[in-house]
Amino acid sequence: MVNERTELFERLYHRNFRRAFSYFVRTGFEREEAAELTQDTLMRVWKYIGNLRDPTNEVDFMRYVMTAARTVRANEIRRRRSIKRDIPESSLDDEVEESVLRDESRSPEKDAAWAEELSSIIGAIRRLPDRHRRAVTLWVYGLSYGEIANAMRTTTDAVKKLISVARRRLKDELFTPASAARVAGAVGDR
Amino acid sequence: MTTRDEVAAAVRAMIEEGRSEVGPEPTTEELLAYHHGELPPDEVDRMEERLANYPEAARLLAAFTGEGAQPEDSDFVSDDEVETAWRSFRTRVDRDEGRVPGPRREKRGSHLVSWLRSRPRWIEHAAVIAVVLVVGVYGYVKDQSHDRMAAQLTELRGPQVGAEHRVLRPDGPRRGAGDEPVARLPAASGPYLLTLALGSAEDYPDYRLDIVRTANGGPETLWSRTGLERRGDDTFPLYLPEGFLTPGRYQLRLYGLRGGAEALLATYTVEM
Repeated sequence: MVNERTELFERLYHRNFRRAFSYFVRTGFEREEAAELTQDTLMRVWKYIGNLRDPTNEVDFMRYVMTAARTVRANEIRRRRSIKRDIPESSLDDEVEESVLRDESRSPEKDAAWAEELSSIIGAIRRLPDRHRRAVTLWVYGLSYGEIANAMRTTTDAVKKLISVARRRLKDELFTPASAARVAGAVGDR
Repeated sequence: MTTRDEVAAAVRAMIEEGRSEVGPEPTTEELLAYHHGELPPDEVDRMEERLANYPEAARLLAAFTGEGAQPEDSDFVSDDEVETAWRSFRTRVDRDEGRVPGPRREKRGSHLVSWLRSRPRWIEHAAVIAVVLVVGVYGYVKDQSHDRMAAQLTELRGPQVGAEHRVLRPDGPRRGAGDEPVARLPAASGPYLLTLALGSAEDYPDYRLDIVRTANGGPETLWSRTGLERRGDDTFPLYLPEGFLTPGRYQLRLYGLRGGAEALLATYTVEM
């Protein structure tokens, strides 16, 4: 019985290790951390495999691994927060926050100008057609073309096209000739 | 601040705002239903919007249902690496389930546990000896204390001999005696069996006796007890254990209690 369980799990382990590992790497963890979190995830599944109605059903098993991976990731982020380490998930926020802190020339006037600029950027993104807006949002957030294609149930080429059009529209709307010098890094190629 | 930061901040702010509109993060069930095309058409568009506002869910979906990573990708894992991970996993399972003895896996971030595991062996031995000593001494002291208390209790429950008996008369001017204390009791001796004589005072439903220290900075009630029984000869017996009162002057105050009222019936001054 134990051997049967182990054999079944081994097959499912090999199929799902890459998925869980990929998830952790894509959400900002180093490879070593991702490997350890993946093991934690699959250990969690191993312990509760008896709860599965049909462990041989691969979709059910994958669902179980996905849920476990989310839980493990959330726990890890909480743990890191509690010991005040860097949190991969918030790297984007941190960068923005740090850049704000580094900016010693800030003033109420500049803050007001920044708020206005932020508002205009948000407005411009919101005015994009829905699919263009979603694609460019995920792209700016750091998802790959492939990930976005998967999320939008379309092809990578279609995503590239959506993003290309969205970038052009944003440039036209947001960046005047006067600010051309600053434009390059904003929505340029990654 | 760079313009890339501005755009990133704008997207972040937009996502935060958008979440309150699109609802909670999609569940795993919802993600898979979406991926397998099992959602109704109107839900598909809504799910796409939710994913745009929860990029982590989009990543999860991509990791589990997307194409496998290629060797040039950062999340690529070779067959050998998976096999190594599986062997490590098996070892861990066997260890956790007690099939293979081995060191317990260290929990990440537990510096105390890490230190304890890396300590020299002599510390462990010293700690065990210290614990044994502490437990032993504690047990010994506890036993001694318990034995002493048990002996005292047995003695108190048995017949008492050698108690010095004194009859105390209420304070007040006495013929030829002035206001001197009625009784002087040697503090070093005892115990005492005192009989407080009340005389023909009014009867009360209940009585209270206070022992008050009167010397050294004002009165201080040391002991008080209600429910005293007045005997037929109008006296109240009081057993005073040895050493209960230290040298000094005390007043025993006898009250009659009725309803909420109390009446001081007599005082008995004692000097130890």
